[in-house]
Amino acid sequence: MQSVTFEHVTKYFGQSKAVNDAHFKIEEGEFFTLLGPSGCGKTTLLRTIAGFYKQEEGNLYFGDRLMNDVPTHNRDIGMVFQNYAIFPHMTVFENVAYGLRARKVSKKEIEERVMEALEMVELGHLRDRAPSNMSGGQQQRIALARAIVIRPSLLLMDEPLSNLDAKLRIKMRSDIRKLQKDLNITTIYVTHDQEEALAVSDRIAVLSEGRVQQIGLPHEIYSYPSNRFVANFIGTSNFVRGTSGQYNAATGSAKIGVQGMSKTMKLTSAFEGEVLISVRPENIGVSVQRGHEEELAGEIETVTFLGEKVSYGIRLVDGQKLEASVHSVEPRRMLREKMSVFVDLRLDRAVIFDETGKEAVYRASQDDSSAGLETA
Amino acid sequence: MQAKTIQAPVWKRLSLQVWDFWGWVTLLVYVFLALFIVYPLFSLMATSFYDENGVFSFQNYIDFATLKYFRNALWHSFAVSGLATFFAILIGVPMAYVTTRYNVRFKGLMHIMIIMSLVSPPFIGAYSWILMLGNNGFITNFLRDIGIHIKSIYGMHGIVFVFTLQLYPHIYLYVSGALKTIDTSLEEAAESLGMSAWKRLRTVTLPLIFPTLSAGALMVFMASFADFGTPMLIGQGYKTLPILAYEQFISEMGGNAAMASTLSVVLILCTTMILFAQRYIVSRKNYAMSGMRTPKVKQLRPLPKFLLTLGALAVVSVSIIPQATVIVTSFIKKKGPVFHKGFSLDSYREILFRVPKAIINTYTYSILSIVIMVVVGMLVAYILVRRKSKLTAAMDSILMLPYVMPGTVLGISLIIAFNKPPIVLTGTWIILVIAYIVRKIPYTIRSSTAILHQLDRNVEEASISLGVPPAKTFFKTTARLMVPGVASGAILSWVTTINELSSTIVLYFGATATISVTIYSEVFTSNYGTGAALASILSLTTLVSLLIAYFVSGRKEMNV
Ligand SMILES: Nc1ncnc2c1ncn2[C@@H]1O[C@H](COP(=O)(O)OP(=O)(O)O)[C@@H](O)[C@H]1O
Ligand SMILES: [Mg+2]
Repeated sequence: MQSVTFEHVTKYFGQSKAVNDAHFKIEEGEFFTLLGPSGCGKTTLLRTIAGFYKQEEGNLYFGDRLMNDVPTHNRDIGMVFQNYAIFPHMTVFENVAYGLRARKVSKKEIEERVMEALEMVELGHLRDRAPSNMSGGQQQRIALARAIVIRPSLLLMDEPLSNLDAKLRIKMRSDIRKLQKDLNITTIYVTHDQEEALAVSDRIAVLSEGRVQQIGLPHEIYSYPSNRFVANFIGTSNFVRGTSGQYNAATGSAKIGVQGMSKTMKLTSAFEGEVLISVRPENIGVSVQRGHEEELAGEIETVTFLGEKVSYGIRLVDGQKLEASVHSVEPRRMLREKMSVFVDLRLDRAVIFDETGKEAVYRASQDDSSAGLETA
Repeated sequence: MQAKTIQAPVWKRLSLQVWDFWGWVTLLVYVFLALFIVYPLFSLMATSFYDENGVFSFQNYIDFATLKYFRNALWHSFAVSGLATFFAILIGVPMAYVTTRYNVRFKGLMHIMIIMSLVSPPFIGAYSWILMLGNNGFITNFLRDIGIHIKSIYGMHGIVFVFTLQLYPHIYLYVSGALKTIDTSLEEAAESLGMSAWKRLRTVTLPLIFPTLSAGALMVFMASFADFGTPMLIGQGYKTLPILAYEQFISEMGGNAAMASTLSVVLILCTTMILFAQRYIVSRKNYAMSGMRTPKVKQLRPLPKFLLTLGALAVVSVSIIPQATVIVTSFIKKKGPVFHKGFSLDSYREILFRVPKAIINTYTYSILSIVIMVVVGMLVAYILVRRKSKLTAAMDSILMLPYVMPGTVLGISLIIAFNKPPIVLTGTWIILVIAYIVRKIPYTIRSSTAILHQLDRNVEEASISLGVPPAKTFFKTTARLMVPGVASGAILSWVTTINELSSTIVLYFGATATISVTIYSEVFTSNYGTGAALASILSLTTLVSLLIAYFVSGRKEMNV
């Protein structure tokens, strides 16, 4: 168990910053995920923690210990690679025993610990097999056993499941999560799959172009994205153009207007001008009759039945398009294409960004995270 | 975003991971290269710019340009190399086509025999053709007895003949490699367009294999341009540049080696020019081969199959005749240097009695060299592939230098560099081992880098992350996984080292004579039996090494 602290860490490749000013702390025993699209710098950051890369700027600490000049083999980490990286010239047992042998553990203890680790990943019966022609799932389990058997203070995993098929991925991710909690190893997990990240993590850092965009609990990241990138990357979001006006410095509220409707809301920062309103499809209310004044008029363009939910493509009167999803609809109450409908954006649950999408001017979480739930 | 990124200062980046194990290895390799390639080369160039009184001048180059004697040698070199390359293509391409595309028989046997004729010591070919077609050769004599007079092997045509038979395997190996991996959909497309087989070959297949063919042709040209033994033995009056450089050097020993250096520099300039010319042509005619539909072997009817097999075997047999001749000659009974009827082990007894040192020398130097080559070659390959940086970029280029330095030239440059303090190595066995390593390590490095490119980098990182330091990781994982790939290049380094003549002849010194230089001097003193016995030992070692490699590598293709 180890905490990891980044102090303004920047890693260059040539002139470009693959990791740009990482500055945060990962707590002891935490399952921490680095999430972002391909090429955003997740692997680079992870490899910097492992010591395969060294940052040009900033400091890296494990606990209180400054790690900048500690070589990888002295960092006491376990690492699981995307392509497994099994030693092809060794048996399953030898693969797992490798790290223990390097630590000069006694023969008897090696035998015990390796078997214990192999049992944990359900591979005890294959100990003497050659790993080369085993399935991807089995190889990944060997890799996992090999990393945890040394009881590292830090476990690093780089997209460990991305080469497995969908079903196996879901089983493996809950196995990994359970194992991590049982062993209580601080774990840094890299993935580009937001669903996976939401499922396994204690906390998530969302990265884009080398920069940390937001760090938070999975539901925070999902419900209260701090900028347009995060809102767009995690789950699906509608971005509706609107305006903010008549800001009142005393109350901190302004009038948010969309397509003729307006609603007074308390902003997190003084802002007047164009805004982008991010609304999750499942937070949009769709009805045939107008319920209240804040609803917008539109027309159903597409209807997609997805089993547990129905997804509607809606065009507002001013031409903006939205996606709304409604859960457990009775078939006879499903709306049909070309129907005129009224759309409730439920602005209090939305996140409102300035026109660039870089900064939120309203988030439901501004006072307490239950703010959004009141009206539910 | 036009924010200027500030980079960390250079010293900070240099001081980072460079000084681990690999940093030291890089440094040591650079020291070795600087000492044994760069420094000798500069010494060579410097020497070429001084006249016999030690005054700086261009006189040597002016002599070279104005004296017919020197210019002729240059012309001779280009003539024999060009012709040999031409004929080698003429033989090598059809051989490759027939053995890869048709179900001819004895492919494995022919493959081994072709490689054998390639790696046999260059001068053994020349030597045994002398035994057969020389002024007193047994074929010459036989034909004379029945009244036919043929031109003896001596002279330019002999050199071209021997080079062609010895070097067409380069073309064969390169081209059959290319023909096996060529994307057949292009050929099939041409066929569906109604092209005749011949036109298809000319307009589709040949252009596709052109880059590979030219690489093979370059090998043939370079090898014949640099070769010393063959023109020395059968050229007689027909002198090529390496011969001239050697003669100048030997006759100037004790004086200054200026003209030998000048000729060496000219040789290097020529080979470098040829190398770049080939690269330039290929870079302009590079067809990307994408698809992975490799060609099928065409099943022939019995008669054409028989005829093609016969034809291919005939070519292979002619090229292997020198080896056979040498072996047979080595067993012929003799009295002194005169042959008698019947067989005996006289020649072998004699060499064991007279030149045991040469045999011991060859094996000790070669074994020492190959061990160093394998270890260093793997380390260098690792640096080149895994530690690619500005710091290691120059290494790749320096390692190309031995490629353009004929053996004679390398030998001369090493002597010039190390016959005076601070480091005196001339006359020692060390200088031979150094020459072997410098000349032959490129094979090992090439196969090592090839296998490293295929190995997953994360495997060694996994090992490091588990607490095993980089150096130990290399020996516990990476090196082990590299071995099968390295072997194919190492075997080449090995067989060409035991057969090495052209730099040994310059560098050896009485007590450090090897088998190859002993054969050379035996042949010159007309001791054909002992020469043949020594040559047979080399051939046998070569054959056994190749066979071991062939079977150990699981009968996989042997790449040269
Ligand atoms: N060794 C390298 N040399 C140069 N650029 C690199 C190297 N590794 C990664 N990059 C670049 O750095 C950026 C981040 O890469 P990476 O960390 O691999 O992203 P991710 O793992 O999130 O997909 C990318 O633009 C990539 O092209
Ligand atoms: Mg990655």
